[in-house]
Amino acid sequence: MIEGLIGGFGHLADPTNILLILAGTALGILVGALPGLSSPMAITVLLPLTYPFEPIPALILLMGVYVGTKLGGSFSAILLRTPGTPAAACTALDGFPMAEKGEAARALGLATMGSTCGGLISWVIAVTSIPFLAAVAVEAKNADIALIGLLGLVMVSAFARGSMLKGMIGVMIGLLIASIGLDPIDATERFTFDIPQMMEGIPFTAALIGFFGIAVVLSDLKLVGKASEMIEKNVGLQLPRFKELLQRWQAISIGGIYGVIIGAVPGVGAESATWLAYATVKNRSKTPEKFGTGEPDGVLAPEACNNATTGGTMIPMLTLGLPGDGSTAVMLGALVLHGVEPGVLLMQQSGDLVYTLLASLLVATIFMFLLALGAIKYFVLVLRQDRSYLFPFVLVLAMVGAYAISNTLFPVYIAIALGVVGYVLESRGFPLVTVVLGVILGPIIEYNARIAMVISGNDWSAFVSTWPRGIMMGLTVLLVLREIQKAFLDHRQKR
Amino acid sequence: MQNFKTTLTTLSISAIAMMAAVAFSGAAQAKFPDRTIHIVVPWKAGGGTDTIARGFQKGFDAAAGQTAVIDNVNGAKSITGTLKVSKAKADGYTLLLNGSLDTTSNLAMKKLPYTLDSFKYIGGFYLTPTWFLTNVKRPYKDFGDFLKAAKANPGKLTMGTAGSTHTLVSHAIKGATGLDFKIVPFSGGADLKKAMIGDDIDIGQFHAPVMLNEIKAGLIRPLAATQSMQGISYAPAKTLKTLVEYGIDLSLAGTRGLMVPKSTPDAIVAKLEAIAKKAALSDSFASFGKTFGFAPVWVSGKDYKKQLHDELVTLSAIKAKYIK
Repeated sequence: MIEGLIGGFGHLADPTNILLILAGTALGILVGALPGLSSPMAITVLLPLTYPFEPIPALILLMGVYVGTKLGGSFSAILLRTPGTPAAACTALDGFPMAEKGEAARALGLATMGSTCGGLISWVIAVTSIPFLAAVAVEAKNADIALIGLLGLVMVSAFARGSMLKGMIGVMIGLLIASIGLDPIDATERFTFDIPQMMEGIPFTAALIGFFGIAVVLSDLKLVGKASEMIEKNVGLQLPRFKELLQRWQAISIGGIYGVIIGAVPGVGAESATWLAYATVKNRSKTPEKFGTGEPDGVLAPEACNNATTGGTMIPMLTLGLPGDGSTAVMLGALVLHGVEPGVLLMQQSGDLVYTLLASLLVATIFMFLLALGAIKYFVLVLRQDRSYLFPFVLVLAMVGAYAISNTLFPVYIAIALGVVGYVLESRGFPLVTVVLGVILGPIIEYNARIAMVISGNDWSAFVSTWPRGIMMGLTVLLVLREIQKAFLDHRQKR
Repeated sequence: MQNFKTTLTTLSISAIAMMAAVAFSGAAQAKFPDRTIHIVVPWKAGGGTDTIARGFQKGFDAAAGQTAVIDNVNGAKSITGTLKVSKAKADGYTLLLNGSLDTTSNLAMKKLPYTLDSFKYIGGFYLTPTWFLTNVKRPYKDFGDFLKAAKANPGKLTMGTAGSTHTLVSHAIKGATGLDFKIVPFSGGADLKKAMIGDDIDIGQFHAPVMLNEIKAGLIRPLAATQSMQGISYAPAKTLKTLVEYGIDLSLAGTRGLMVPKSTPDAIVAKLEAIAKKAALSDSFASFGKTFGFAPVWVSGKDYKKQLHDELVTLSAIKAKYIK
């Protein structure tokens, strides 16, 4: 194990390999920061360029991109309220208010530190607990995944600032959007209006671009003409002090641990994991009301979490040939094209490659930190530009991103339509995050719950039959009861 | 005399040039392909068809003398991408690469804005039967054991599928044997693979050679296939029994191939067929086949067209007979 890793780092000592990781990570940060362009997209585009390479240089280049995008996405989330990648959507909740308060540089510093610490935690857990994480990947059955999703959805009510009712309505709208398309089990058409493209449902990336890209531009139009003068004072990087990080160790470790474990479960992904980490940290906080107004923990937790998924997804990918998310799916395809068979035998047949990839994950995380140090001051410059220059740029990228989902125009129309819907909802006080979470989690919950029911022969006890399921179910019920109790108490106080 | 010879040479050269011009009907086509060719793969990057397409692309580039790019136009079980190509400009620069059964099972299941006649057929190059796998922890040594167990426990056993073709095949097996077992429709191959490793279901249906690695590792056991497995690189699986040998009259094997919009000129279709054939039989694709598990084949455009039409008849019959 240790020898293997040392060998892996040995491979990376080659200057070409080091340069490739560096280039990949830099590209990843940039692609991640551009709204609409995502990590699977960048990896797919790079793939043909790697054909002449040997498998190791090819894969470590892709690894750099994968790691870099996780941090890059948060830069635009903090600066523009438009997350560059789905996994960074949660970071906007507290990152953007910080930027508005003139603490953009501090928020970027927190995001960088959070991502780096999350990445390191996850790397250590990943390499030391390969058998455990492989077991998590296989033992997380459909019923468990459905419950993780349900728990996440219930925790959303915690995000709903102001009216809880509006938060619930937001979730319902999200679930309604998610129900469009072919029913996952019986293939019945739901709200497809005989349009073939609607059969697949609303691509959640298009929904995300609509709600967080276009709707945000529409509602922030009032900022046009005002270059954000408030952030003038704090340009440049402001890394959090070590002491501050120590005080906030809980947010980082919750984010990190959630990221590794949820990342290891195929089919859940970083975009759901961050919300769970955020909600957990908020619920444990002594000052939950500060979340959403620029709370540093609210940046650290999701950032630690989304980078921590990189270690989590590696284990099922390398030991079982199972992709944890879209990027690792493309990387598995890349392995085959380079003549390597992924699967349970990969560790035995190409142990060298496995350890080098694990080593490159650590190196990419460190490069990500160093690159971010240098890059932040340029990213902050973005905020100093007049919004009338920035918004057209964001809109163009949003359109490109929507088009690239399936190389057709259909998702572009969806994104525009949902952008308008999102603008109307937001101006009426419905929190958009709840809608988006409904869109992301709805299909995960429905599909997994129904598969679980088919396998169990329509026996509902499948959802409480093991102790982790019992705990998740109990937590869900508890959270709902607490919300109801809170609503009663609030009502009584008002009278 | 010298003069006569020169005239003769000039004449014959012009005659050859004229014949060539007639044969290729137009100077523009004579140079086909003179720019980038787009191969539309109607699935996400990283999936089985996408990986095969990218393995095929290297040989295709060399044979065409042009770069081909792969456009992943995914969505709606490959309908989105197929629809896009059916409406694309018929100049031979936009091709569809899909599995034959993926195309025909969609058409068998519902009425779509295109039919098999919306396309011309370039040819097929990768044939993979479907195989039935089980986790070695389950007691089935062959497909007969599964059928016996299903008979003894009606409505209890589970067969996992990923995609309409496999769901149709499951219904056909249920119908043909009169047995009752549960069909679990997973959303994709990766999901079903996880369920197999996690021992969640009795049997899983996959396009061979998916999970070959797990079979070699002794975790998964193949039970039967929908057609002869002679093409597989893994010797012990070559003699896997087919459904027909278990008394189920069903023989299917999907072939990945290329199609173009129906109004593409025949001369261009012929050129594409020659390019695709060369790519299918190239060394680079053969070495890809070695890693992936199956040796490449070549099915001519004419035969490929017939194969799809036959498949559609078979699958439509299954749907009409066994699915309400």
